[in-house]
Amino acid sequence: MSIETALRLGAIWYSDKLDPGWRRKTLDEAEAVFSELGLVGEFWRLRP
Amino acid sequence: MTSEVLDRDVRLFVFQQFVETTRPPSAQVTALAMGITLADAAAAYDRLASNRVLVLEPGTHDIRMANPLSAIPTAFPVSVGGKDLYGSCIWDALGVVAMLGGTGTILSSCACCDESMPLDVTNLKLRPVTGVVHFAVPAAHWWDDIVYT
Repeated sequence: MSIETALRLGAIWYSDKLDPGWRRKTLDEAEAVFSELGLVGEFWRLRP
Repeated sequence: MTSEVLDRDVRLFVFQQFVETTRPPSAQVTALAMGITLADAAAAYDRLASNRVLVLEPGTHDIRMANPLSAIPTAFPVSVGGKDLYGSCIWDALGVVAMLGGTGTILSSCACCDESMPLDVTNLKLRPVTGVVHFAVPAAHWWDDIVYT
């Protein structure tokens, strides 16, 4: 992926990590993030 | 206090300490600072590890990773907010910058030739640079060995 995409991924994933209300993303939420960023296909599936 | 509340508070303390001191706190430090027993702190660390919020060194309560932060030096050093930290990978290094305000530099290098490739980020905008990010492990297998990943 481009470095710009990786930055967007890092921001979506971690911007709120220090918030008291932070929680891990569900598998569905995580896959939705990947899809939103164009990270699709077998490589990006979180369920084997 | 429920374990859910304790784990939230321990998680926040761990991350705040990690950022402030650039080192993760031991379970002992956490217990003392939070006024809880060492057993309770260690149990919280274990639950957080089970939930993939922390990665502990095998057989210990020493924190190896509190993603996006790495407790050991990696190929992804991050300079942000006057602190020198390490990301566990490039995604995490960029995440460190995002987590701490959006402005910082990743002192990365090319994986194949070791040429320096600093990534400067200002307000979550990347200074133009040539390069790509490569992921070697498919997503479904990241946690098979998260340290390797």
